[in-house]
Amino acid sequence: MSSQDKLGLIFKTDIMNEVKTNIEKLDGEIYIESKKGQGSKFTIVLPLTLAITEALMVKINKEIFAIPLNAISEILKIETKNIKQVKGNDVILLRDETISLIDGKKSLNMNVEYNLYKTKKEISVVIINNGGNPIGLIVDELLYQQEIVIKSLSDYLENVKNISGATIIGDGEVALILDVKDIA
Amino acid sequence: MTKKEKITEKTQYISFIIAREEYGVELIQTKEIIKPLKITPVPNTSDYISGVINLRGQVIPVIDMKKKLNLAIEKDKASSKDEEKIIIINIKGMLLGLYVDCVKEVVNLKNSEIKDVKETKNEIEKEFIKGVINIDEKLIIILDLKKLLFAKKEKKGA
Repeated sequence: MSSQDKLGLIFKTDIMNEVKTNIEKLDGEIYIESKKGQGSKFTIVLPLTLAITEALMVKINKEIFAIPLNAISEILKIETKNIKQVKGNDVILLRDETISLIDGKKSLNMNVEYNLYKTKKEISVVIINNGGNPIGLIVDELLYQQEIVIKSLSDYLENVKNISGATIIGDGEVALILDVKDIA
Repeated sequence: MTKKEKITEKTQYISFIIAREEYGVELIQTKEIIKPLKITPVPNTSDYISGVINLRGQVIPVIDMKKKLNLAIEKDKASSKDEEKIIIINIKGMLLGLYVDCVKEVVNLKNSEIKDVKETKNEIEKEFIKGVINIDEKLIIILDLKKLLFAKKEKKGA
């Protein structure tokens, strides 16, 4: 059996077929390298401009941002009187778990005063769980959920802190995608 | 004279106004001129980055030329808000927008007409200027966009 045949065999199995179809739907490619006795290497190439993801749209300081849904574990409304302090950081208790709060305005380095949320009666918090410790991101407003097309933020602006890309929303404006790995 | 010879002999520049001064960049680098669209600010970037715009589905960063060139922010009363334009340039395979006060004209210049700058007003570094040219008592500063936009990028954000 040639290696080409073996690849064909892998793709005959339902799971791989599903993977391949979905990757091709996004205009991507999959490569498999296999060495006897050493395992296999799967390389998936996806064009960033065509990656589609489900995202929660939020408003922070009048600007709209997208948070990829796969990083969000839940969304809460919290009364500010329930905010507690641990070592000077604001935390909330959620089912016996301490979750530290991060002000979205602060992580986006916006030119406004931070930590004003305490003056409000109730705040919207997005719990981001990206493998590590969950954090609570404070946003001004929860808007809606939608599918977004991820576009890269131009090579000129490489590695912008806390921003992973951009997308174009209904009214033709650009909304930025928060980099949850950076924030959390 | 064939058309080809004409092109090699002269270079076309597009001139625009930033803070009352006239600047020029090579026309070949420019892709189009658009009216300002809604700019989405991008946090954690240098302050001369105004933000990004959606140009027919493409996300393009816009550079505030006034801040990039360290020119006085004071608004030029002579040019109104309607005249403000974004010049889309194609440089090193990237599309970038330059926010300017007003776009003037396209000028044909012989390369020999461009004079070296001996001294500049301290605000703009000399290395970003390719040269200056006098047309009808008017001074146009020709910018070297590659050097201006890709000179060791300052540390972004705080």
